[in-house]
Amino acid sequence: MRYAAALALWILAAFACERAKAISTWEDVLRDLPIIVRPPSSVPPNNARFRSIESPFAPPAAGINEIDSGPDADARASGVHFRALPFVVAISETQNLARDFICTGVVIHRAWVLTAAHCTYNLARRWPVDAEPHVFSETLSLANPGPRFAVEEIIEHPHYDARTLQHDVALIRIAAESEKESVPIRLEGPPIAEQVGEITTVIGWGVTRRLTRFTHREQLELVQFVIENAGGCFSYARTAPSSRAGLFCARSLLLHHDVCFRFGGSPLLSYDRSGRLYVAGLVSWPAECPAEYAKPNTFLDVQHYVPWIKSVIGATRVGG
Amino acid sequence: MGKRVAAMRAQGVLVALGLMIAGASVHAQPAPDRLNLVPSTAEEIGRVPNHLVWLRPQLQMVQDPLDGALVFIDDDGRVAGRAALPADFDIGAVVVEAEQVRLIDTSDRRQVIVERNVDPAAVPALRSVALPPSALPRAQFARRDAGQISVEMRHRTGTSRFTVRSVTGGTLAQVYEIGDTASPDRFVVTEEIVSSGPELVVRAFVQRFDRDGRLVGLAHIPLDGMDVVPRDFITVTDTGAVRVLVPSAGGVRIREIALSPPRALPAPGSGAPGEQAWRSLGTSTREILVDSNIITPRGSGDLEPPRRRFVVKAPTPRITRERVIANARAYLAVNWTMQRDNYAKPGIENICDPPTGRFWLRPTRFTRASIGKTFGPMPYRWGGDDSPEGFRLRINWGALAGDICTCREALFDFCLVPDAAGVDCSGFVSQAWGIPKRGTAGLMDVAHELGSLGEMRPGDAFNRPGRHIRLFVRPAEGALMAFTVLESATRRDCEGVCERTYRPSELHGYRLIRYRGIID
Repeated sequence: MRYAAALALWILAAFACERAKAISTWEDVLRDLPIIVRPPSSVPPNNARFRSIESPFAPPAAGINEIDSGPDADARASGVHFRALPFVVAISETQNLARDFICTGVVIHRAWVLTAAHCTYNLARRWPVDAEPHVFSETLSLANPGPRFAVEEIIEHPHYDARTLQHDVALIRIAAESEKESVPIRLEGPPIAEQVGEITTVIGWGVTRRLTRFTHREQLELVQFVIENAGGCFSYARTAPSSRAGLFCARSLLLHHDVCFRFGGSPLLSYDRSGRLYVAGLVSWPAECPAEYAKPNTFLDVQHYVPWIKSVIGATRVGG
Repeated sequence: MGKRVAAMRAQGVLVALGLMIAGASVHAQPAPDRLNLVPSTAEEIGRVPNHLVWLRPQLQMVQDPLDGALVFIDDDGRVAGRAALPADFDIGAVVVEAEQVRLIDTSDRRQVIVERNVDPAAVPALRSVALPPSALPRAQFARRDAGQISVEMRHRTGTSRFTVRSVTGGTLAQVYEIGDTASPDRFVVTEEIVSSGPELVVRAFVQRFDRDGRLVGLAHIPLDGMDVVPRDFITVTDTGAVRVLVPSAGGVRIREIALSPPRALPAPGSGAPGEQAWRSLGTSTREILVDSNIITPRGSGDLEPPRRRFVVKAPTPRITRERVIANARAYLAVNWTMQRDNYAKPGIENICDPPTGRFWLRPTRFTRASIGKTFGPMPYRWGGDDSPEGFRLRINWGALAGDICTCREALFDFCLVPDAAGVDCSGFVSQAWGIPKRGTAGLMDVAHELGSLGEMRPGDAFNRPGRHIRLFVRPAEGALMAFTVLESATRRDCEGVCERTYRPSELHGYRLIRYRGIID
């Protein structure tokens, strides 16, 4: 009996090893991500620190206050006014934003855009297409793009791993000769550990619900998240501690809404102690949609990468 | 908007009209009654006809790139018939004799004989027969200097000795005979390398020598209009004119060129002629528009490179040349056995038509009879970058073997089939260099260009960004220049990773590159 059990265990272990080796393409990795890092749903958000439980989309005290006050009717309908968000940019594979939109990025320096490395992965390898990427600012709807900036250079984090999505951060240098100057947002802020319980905003041209995937209007969307205890969404049994570096967890404030599709590279904006808006995180990992009740999602911790970003840009002061 | 639609319609009509004039039509599938052609598309080198042989007045033959059959074409460009070659017969050389044409296999052990008075409409089944060593074409070449090669050719009718000289002043790289070996005059094709940087520039000429070894005729054969330079693309007619196979995106043409007397050139030793002089050698006398079937899957993408380039700083891990070659050679000996699941899967059709959501195409050499057989090389898979170990594992787990349906539009997920396993050209070179997959243009970001062919070392590459890349293995031995490469190609006799030796003309337009992380 003991031998039979040992044999069964050995077969299971061999099967697991072989399955692990079989993950040889990024498609496999993406498919397996929800299994590899299934965050627990038992950690409740810290309601005591919610700014407004009744109206989670109500803006905080400063910065995004202007968002709802714009004159544009479409903007009011979606709750966002692009003029208040000049630093949020859309990245396109070509000059045709409506057709070739890839990801969202955020301007952190007048010549540099921060985004996720998985967004620039194909661009930097010039495969499957040798593209001519552009960045568009002040864009509410993808069909009606704002000022355009040509991409001059793409720099991925040197340790970015497309299989595990570790260090999923990249910088895009944009051309200076555009008709309009880019407007950066503040890059540096308090470490994410000090932001636990804060309400933050993710902005991008993505889809927040699976059901609306095909009826999506491709307008700028805004989703609010609350930052959770660092590492709170990881299953420690399945995720090596080293792979959690540079990531944090946040939970959507609206049930069944999350950064489901096309939010890659979208900034997660928060406020520092002085009430100044800064980039706290980036959308990197895919969300599970429809999300389970109050299940947190994983974001890239931008503050963890500030030294690398500064070393690339060569600037001591970035953004803001 | 209305104007744009009208302009597009007008453009479509013009394209259709142009194709009709050219005797070509566009289909998604091979056509048995036409000469098939797959023009180059983004990230894929075109598949073009090869081995043009003039048989007799009003008849020539050429090898179809898709099914490998011999296609007989009359002087009106119509397909007069076709004949299948024996399975696994790969034409390596063509010998034209008075009564017959001998097609010699790359192994030099078998040959197929086609009678020159063949009835194209009723060709008997072609069989390969053993090739006696004495029947192999014999020629000796001795290089005198960069621009001169002495040639000695032995035929049944006797031995010819003559010296071939460079016409342009460039490096004389290749000399090979075309035309009837029973004829008293010798016709040779010469290939000259005039520049190696930034890309390889090759000029081709036909030179005619009389029985005393005197140059009596000369013609320049332009390569620039060709989508891909075919193998054995020039033949000689009974009048002494040459016919040239010219495949382009608009179809296949056969151009007849009459040779010029050599007096237009300066005397040997008095310097190279100007470009104007050698370009004017030969007179185009006729053009045959071949009834071609152009196969371009919808959504193939645009060949035009982007107008504005951005910079990418990519990491280049260090690797030795020996490791690069070992990595590449491992793809020739994957030794995998095809199971039923690797041949077909329910729900995945063997059709390349991206707009209808069907974009998996099995390599044509795999048939139902392949199930249970063991293959050495890894098959071609568009977008693939499997390592040999990863490929074996995925094949064992039931992945489809290979995929030769290529397209470049995001709308069709770039025709990537996750259920298929294999490697494409840039994936192969990326793996050999030990880096994540990059496109042919992306590989330029991790490499630098070489200034001359003399700098090429094993592990460097011939790259044509946006189309194809080949890993250089070694130069050919002897007086003539040729280059042995390893590549993953969709070509019918390869459809995966294979080793092949190319003449310089077949590498015309390629860039010579070296991976930045290479350790010498």
